[in-house]
Order: sequence, then C-alpha cells, then structure tokens
Amino acid sequence: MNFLERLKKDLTGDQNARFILVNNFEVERSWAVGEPKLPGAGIAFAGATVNRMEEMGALLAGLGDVVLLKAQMDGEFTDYLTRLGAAAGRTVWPEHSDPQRMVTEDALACPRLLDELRAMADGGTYLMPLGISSAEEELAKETGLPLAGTTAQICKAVNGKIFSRQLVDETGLTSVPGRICHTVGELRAALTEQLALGGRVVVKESLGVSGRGMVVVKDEAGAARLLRLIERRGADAPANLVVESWIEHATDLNYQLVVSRTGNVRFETVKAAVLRDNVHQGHRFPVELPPAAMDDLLAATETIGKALHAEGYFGMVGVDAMLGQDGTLYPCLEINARFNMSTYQSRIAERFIPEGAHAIAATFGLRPSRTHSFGEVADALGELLFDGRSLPGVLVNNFATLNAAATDDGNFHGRLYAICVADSADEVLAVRQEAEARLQKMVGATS
Amino acid sequence: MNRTEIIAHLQIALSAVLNREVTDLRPEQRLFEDLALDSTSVIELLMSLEDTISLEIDPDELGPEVFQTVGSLADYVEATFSKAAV
Repeated sequence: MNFLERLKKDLTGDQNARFILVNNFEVERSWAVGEPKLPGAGIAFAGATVNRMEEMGALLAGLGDVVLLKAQMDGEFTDYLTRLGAAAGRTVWPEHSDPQRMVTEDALACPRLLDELRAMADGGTYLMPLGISSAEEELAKETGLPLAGTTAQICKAVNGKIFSRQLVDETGLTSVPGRICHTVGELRAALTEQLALGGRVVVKESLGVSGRGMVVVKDEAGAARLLRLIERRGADAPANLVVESWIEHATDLNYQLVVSRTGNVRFETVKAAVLRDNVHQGHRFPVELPPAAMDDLLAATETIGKALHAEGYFGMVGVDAMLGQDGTLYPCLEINARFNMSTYQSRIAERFIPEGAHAIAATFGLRPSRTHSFGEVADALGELLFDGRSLPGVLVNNFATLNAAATDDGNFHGRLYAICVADSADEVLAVRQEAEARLQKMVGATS
Repeated sequence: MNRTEIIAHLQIALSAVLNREVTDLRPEQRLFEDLALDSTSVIELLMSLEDTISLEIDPDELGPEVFQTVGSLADYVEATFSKAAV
C-alpha cells in the first residue's frame, strides 16, 4: 500500500475509498476566530498566496481521487506533472474564486461545483480536508459527502498549543521549561520565571497560525515592553498563551503519524530543518537520528497518538520537535492534528526519491514584478528541472503560489515550492542554492 | 512632533526590528512587500515605537490599513499625537 492507501484504510477502513482532497491551508485561521491574540497579531495579512497552496494536493491524489482547487491549474504546469506521472487524480474548481477565501469557502459559494460534488456521493467517497473547521463540516452537509475525520470542535481542541503542553506534562514526555497562562495577569510571573532560567523566551498564542502569533522576548526590557502592551487589557482578560524557554542551536524536527479511526497509531516520517548561515533552507529527508533519540521519538509517537484518540481525534498528525545540541530530544513542542507540508510530500517521496537519495523540501520566496509562466520557470531552472528519472533534480510541487499575489503596480511576494533531490546531502543543498539563484535571476533580483 | 521627526523615529524602530540599518524611508514604501516586515515583527515594531516615541499605542485598535506603507504608519502616529495633545 502507498501512503494514501494506508491513510484511506486507517481513516475509512477501505484502502480503495475515493478521497476528495480539500487542501484548506491555514485552517488554523478558522480555529483562531474569537481566540485571544498577542498585541498586533490581529493585523490581518493577505492570504492570497497561502490560499493557493491548495494546488499541492494534486501531487498527493491517487488514481480516481479528486482534488478541489480554487481555480483551474496552469496548463503548462499540468503537462509537466502529467509527464512525470506525479498527479494521478482529477481536479475540480469553482466558477469564481476570491483570492482571500480558502478553497472550501470558494466551493461553498459555487452551486455548480456543489452539484458536481453531490453527484460523487456513492458511499465510498469522502471529503479529506487538510484540517476540519466549521466550513468543511458545512461542505460535508451541503454535499452529503462524509468527512474522513472527526468534528471541527475536536480538531480545534487538540490543535491548541496549550493542549500540547498539557499533554506533555501529563504523559511525562521531555518538556521545554515553560508554563501556560490562561489570563493576562499570569504572564508577568511566567516571563520573570522563564527569563530567570537564562536565555530567550518565546510567547505563543495557543491557537496562533504556525509560524505566527508568537513573539520572542530577549530580556527583561523586552518583557516589560510586551507586558506594557498586553496588561492594558486587564489582569483577568483571557490570554491563552504558552511561555517557554527558547532552546538555542537545536535542530528543528517535524514528524508525522496517523491515528486510525480505531485508535491504532502509525509512525510515518521525520524531517529536519536545514539551515545555512542561520537561514532556513527547507526540510531535509530522510533523517538519521541518533538511535536513542529515534527510540524516544517512536515512543512519543505512540503516547501522543493514544492521547489524541482518547480525545476523539483520528487523522493525520504532524508534531514539531527539537533535538538539542546535548542530544536531548524534546518530542512535542506543538501538535498539528491535520495534514502538514510533509503529508503533501509523501507520494512524491514514494514515487521519485530512490533509496539512498537526499531531498530538501524548499520554499523559494521571490519578488516578481510581473506574472511568470511555468514555461519561464522551466527555462530558468533548465536542466535542474526534474525529469522524473535523472538526479539531481528540482520538482516544482506548487506553481499557483508564484503569481497568486500579483498586482498591477509594483512587485509582490511570490512563492514556489519544490522538492530538490540529489545523491548526497551536500549536493542537494548545492542544488537548492543553484535553483534559488536561477529563480531569483528570472524575476530580476540583483542579488 | 513633526512629520520629518516621525519618519526618523520610524527609521530607528524599523532598524531595530529588522536587524539592519534602514535608511532613506519614503512614504510610499510598503512595510511588508518592500521592507520585508513580517507578521511576527509587527508586535516588535509596536513595542519599539512605544519606546522611541513615548507614545501609547492600543494594538487592539489597529487595523491592517495602518501597516500598509511608511506613510500610513506615519499618519497613524501623527493622528495619535494630535489626539493626545487635545
């Protein structure tokens, strides 16, 4: 069984079930509605680019599966994926797409697409969202298609960083020094206590979007500044924050597990963040952890999976972990009980990354001043563009994000996602650098 | 505080938050697209501004429009000062 067949079996009992993949990236934004935020974290950011990450689902789908998109895929990009044999499913999309809406919301606003989805309800077809919020529950209700997962309420509950921290404390997993603040009034003591341990402190919203909704406090002056802003809300105001020591020079890990409908727990993969001159380059895989750390990680997988199932959760789980310089594994910094970036790379790894090869899942942040076609990207990458056989290669797995934020005036932020593959760890890093240089040149960047 | 002084303070605050020397700020520069401010640094910018301008900011009242450009942020600071002076 391949990754998706295993997932189908775990979540529906049938490895031949049909999935309609609903890749609602940043579902955390929905879970965070109405939750307390750090000062300034409520400033809304354009989600146009993130919303187009839904396209990654095309490389996860199997034969017969369906991928719900916001818009039709670029023809040249589709041709490329077809030549590789990287996208087996078919795609459906709404008549109108609002860049600021998530894919589910676009679908709910399109009667024609809803009809098309309703017609797929045959008892063996399931909606498989990245994560389940009220919008996906509404889509299930509107279409009569069951969700291959649990309720939005349970999903929200187990995705909070407070839940992760409590789980670690209750199960005895190795924890980073820290504490939970339910109210604003508890923050001052928590910051003082953590800073007294030495080093920096991170303050995280329980339901903040990954990589956002957090602030790093360097010293007492920084703590005073944060407290001055937040204490104006009053000591009894809800805060729902996790305050933790910042572990310096640790290797960031991310691992995936699946909790089946019946409570079986299965480890899938582990990936490690790769840095070059302290700049994040992406995640590399496969990862060889020291045997003791790997044993700890597998034990934590079982512990976390069982705890999640006890809460009523079943589905994909990604866990952020850290390997300290002293070899200590902190196996659970944050639970993301939903699909993760790793999930979308699973079939790519099975299809294209041979035993012994090394891969980096990279994000290329670009600043184009106009839209670029996939043909231009292919030309820019030249012989580096993965052809399905020879290494090294760069497999683009999300193209729509390059032009999603295009404006008529001035340059904009675009992103290309790609999997770089080569025969050695050093070579794959060099390939990543070369690909980035070529793409930056394409958009006219001078450096 | 006049407009030139406000821009000078923004320059100091942005340099601190972005960990690089920000010079020659222009009103039309976009904070996120052109200066590469990111979402986690908004809170640091607010904290830094409070320090350098001695201005009380209520972050819960700030909308995204304030953070569009250097000019819009300067407008906000100027308006907050005028209110405080009344």
